[in-house]
Amino acid sequence: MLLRNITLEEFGAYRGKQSLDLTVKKSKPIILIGGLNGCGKTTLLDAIQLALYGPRARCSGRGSKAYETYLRESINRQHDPARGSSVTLEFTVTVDGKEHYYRVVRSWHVNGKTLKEFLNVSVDENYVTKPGRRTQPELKYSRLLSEGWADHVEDLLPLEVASLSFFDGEKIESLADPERAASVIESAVHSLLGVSTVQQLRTDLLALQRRQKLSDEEQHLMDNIRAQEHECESVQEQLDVAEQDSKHQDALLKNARHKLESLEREFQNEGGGLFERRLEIEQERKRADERLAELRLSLAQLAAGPLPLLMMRTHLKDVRKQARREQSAAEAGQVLDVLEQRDQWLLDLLPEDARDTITKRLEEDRAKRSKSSVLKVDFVLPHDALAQLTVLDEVLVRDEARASELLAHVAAAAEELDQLDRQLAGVPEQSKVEDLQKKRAAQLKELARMEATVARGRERAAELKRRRANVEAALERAHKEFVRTKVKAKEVERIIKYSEKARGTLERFGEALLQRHISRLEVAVLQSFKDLMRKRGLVQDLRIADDFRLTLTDSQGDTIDPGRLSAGERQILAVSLLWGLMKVAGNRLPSVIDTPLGRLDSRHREHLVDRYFPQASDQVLLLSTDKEIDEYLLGRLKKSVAHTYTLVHDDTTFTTNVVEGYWWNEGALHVAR
Amino acid sequence: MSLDSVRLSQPAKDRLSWLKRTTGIPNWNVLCRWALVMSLKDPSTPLVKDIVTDSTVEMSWKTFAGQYGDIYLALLKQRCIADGDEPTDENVAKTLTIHLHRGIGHLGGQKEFQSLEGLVGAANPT
Repeated sequence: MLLRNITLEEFGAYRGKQSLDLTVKKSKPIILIGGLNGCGKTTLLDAIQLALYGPRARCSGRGSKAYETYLRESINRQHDPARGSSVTLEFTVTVDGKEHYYRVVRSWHVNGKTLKEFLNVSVDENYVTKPGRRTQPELKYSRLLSEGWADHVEDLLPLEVASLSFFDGEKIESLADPERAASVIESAVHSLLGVSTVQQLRTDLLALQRRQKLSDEEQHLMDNIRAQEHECESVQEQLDVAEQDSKHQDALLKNARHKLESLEREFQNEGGGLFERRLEIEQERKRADERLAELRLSLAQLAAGPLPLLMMRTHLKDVRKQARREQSAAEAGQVLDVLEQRDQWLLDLLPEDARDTITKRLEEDRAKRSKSSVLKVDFVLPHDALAQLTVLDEVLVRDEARASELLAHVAAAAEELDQLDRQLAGVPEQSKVEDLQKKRAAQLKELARMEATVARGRERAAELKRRRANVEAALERAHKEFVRTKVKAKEVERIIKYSEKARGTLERFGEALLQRHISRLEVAVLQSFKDLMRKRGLVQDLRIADDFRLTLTDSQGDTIDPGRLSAGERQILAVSLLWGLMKVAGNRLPSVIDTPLGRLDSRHREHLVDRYFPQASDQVLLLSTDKEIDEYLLGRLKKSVAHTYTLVHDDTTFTTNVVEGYWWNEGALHVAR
Repeated sequence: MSLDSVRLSQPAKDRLSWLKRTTGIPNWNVLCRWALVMSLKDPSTPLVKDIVTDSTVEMSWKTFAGQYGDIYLALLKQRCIADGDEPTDENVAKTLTIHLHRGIGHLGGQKEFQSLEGLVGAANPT
C-alpha cells in the first residue's frame, strides 16, 4: 500500500484546500513534512486515519469526545460550518498483482443542529504505473465500496496494524513496557502476519461444520418417508385384494347374466312374453266382453221395440191401404146422414111436383154413397190407425239405422273378442311358466345385487387407486427430499471429516507460522535494536515467549528489566519493535512517524536517520519539527527524500498552509518565519 | 180362447227358454213378437194342428203386443183373411196361436235365429 495524495479542505487549522503529493520513488521512500509545534503535524496524521477509519480512527485530537463533536470541531474555525470540511486520501493497493487506485473522500457539514457525514470511495481497478511517469487514474465511484468501506478497509489495512504503522514517536515509548508490548506483539503477529487469517479459517471451518448437522426437520422427513412407505404398501395390498375381489365379482356377474339369459330364452320358448301379457289381454278381453254385453243389451232393447215389424213392410203397406179405405168409408157414412138431412130440407123447399124425381135421384145418390161406405173387408181399425202407421214408419227408419249401427259394433266387438281369445289361446298356462317366472324374478334380483356389488368393488378399487397415486406422489416427493437429505448427510459427513482434518492442519500450520513469525520477529527486532542502539553490547539476546512477552538478555545471560532502560532507550526499543514487525510483514505498509526523534540524543538520532527511516518501509512519512530533523540530519537524509513540505502557520489568521520544501532546502526561501 | 191373453204350449215354452239364453233377450213377449213376425213373413199357409197351450207362460194381449197392439192386430186380421178365414175374434186368436207357435219353431230350427245378432240381422238385411 502506497499513499498517493492527501487533500485537506477546511480541516482543523488547514484553511481552504491543501494538497500534499505523497508519491515516493523506490530509492526515495521518505516524505519529509516539517512543521513547528501547533502547526498541524498531528492533524495531518489524524486526517489520514480519519479518512480511512472514520469513527473508529484513533485520532489524537479526539480524546474522549463524541465522533460528531470531533468532526464539528474539526471544521476550520473561520469556515462556514454549513459548507463543511473534507479529507481526501488517495492510495494504491496491489492485490493479486494488480494495482488498484483508491480515492476516499470523507466530507461532513453541519446542517442545523445535526451533522451530516458522507463517504465517497472511487476506485480504478486496473491502475497501471508506468516508470518515470505519473498516470492519471480513471476513477469510478463505487457505491458498494462506499457503503461497505468500514469492512473493506479492514482487508486493506486493519486498524490494529494502522495504529502500529502510523504512530506518534513521543508516545510509542510505552510500547517498551513488556505488558503493553505483549499485546501489541500479539495483535501485530495475528493481524499483520496473517496468523489471524489462519485462525479465522479455523473458526470458519468450525462454523461450517456446525451448519452441516442434519436438522430435526430432515430427521422428521426420514420418519415421514418410512410411514409413507408403509402406507403405500398397505394401500397396494388393499388394492390388490380389491382388484382380485372385483375380478371374482365380475366373473360371478357374468355367470349370473348368462343364467338370466338362458332363463329368459327358456321363458320365451314357453311363451313367457305372451304370458306376461295374459293379464293385459284378459283385461282387454273383459273390457271387450263388457262392451259386447252392453251392445247386446242395447240391441236387445232395440229388439224389444217395433223392430220385428220391419219384416212386415209389405204387409204394413196393405194395412195402410185398408186403413185408408176404412177411413174413407167412415167418412162416407158420416156424410150420408148429413146429406139425408140436407136432402130432406132441400125437398121441403121444393115444389110438390118436382119432389118425386128429385127424391128418387137423391135416394139413388145416397144409396150409391151408402154402398161405398160398406167395405168388403173391415179390420175395424181404430180411427187413428193411419197416424199410428205413420209414426211407426218413422220409428222403424230410425230403429233400422240404429240396429245396423249396433250390429256393426257388435260384429267388431265380437271380432275383437275373438282376436283376444286367440291371443289368450297362445298364452301358456300360468302353472307352466310360473316356476320359470319365479326363477327369472329371483335371478333378476340376484343380478341387480351383484351389479351393485361389482359397482361398489370398482368404486373401492378406483378410490384405492387414487389413494395409491396420492401416496406414491407423496412418497416420490419424500424420496426426493430423502435423497437430498441422504446426499446432504454424506456430504455433511465428508465436510465434517475434511474440515476437521483441515482444521487440524491449519492449527499446526498456524502454530508453525506463529513460531516462525515469532522467531523471525525476534531476529528482526534484535537486529533493529542493535542497529539503532548506541550501546551495542547492552542487549545480547531478545526472546518473545508464548504469551508474546518480550524479554531482553544481556551478555551475561541475565534478563534485563525494561524499567532499567532509559526513556530514550525504551523509545529505541519500541521503534525497533515496530521496525522489526514491519520487516517481518514485508514493508508493505506506509509508515507515518510523527515527532520521531523527540527524546533521543544525537547519536540515536543519527542512527535513526541513517538506518531506520530510509528502510523503515516503502513509504515513510516523517512529521518533524525543525529541531528534530535539523539542517545536519536533513543533509544525511536528503538522498532518500522524495518530497519535502513545510506546514506554515499564520499566527494572525490562525491558519496553516502547506508549502513545498523544507527549511534548509530551496523551498525554505519562501517560508515566512 | 180369446185375444185377451196369449198362452204357449210346453214345447214352445221350452224352446223359448232356450232361446232366451242364446239370444240374451230376457222377455217372453219380445221373443214371442219376433216369432210371430217370423211366421207372418212366411207366405205359406201353416199346417193346422192342435196346439195345446198347456204351459205356465201366459200373458195379456197388451203385454204381448205392447205399444203397437193395433198394428199387430191389423196384421193378424190381414193374415186371417189371407189364410181364408173371416177375421172374427175367434179366427184371429187361432191365427195368432198357430203363427206364434210356427214362428217359435222357425226360431228354434234355424241356427241364424238363435242369436240376437241373427234375429236383428234378419230384420235388417243390410
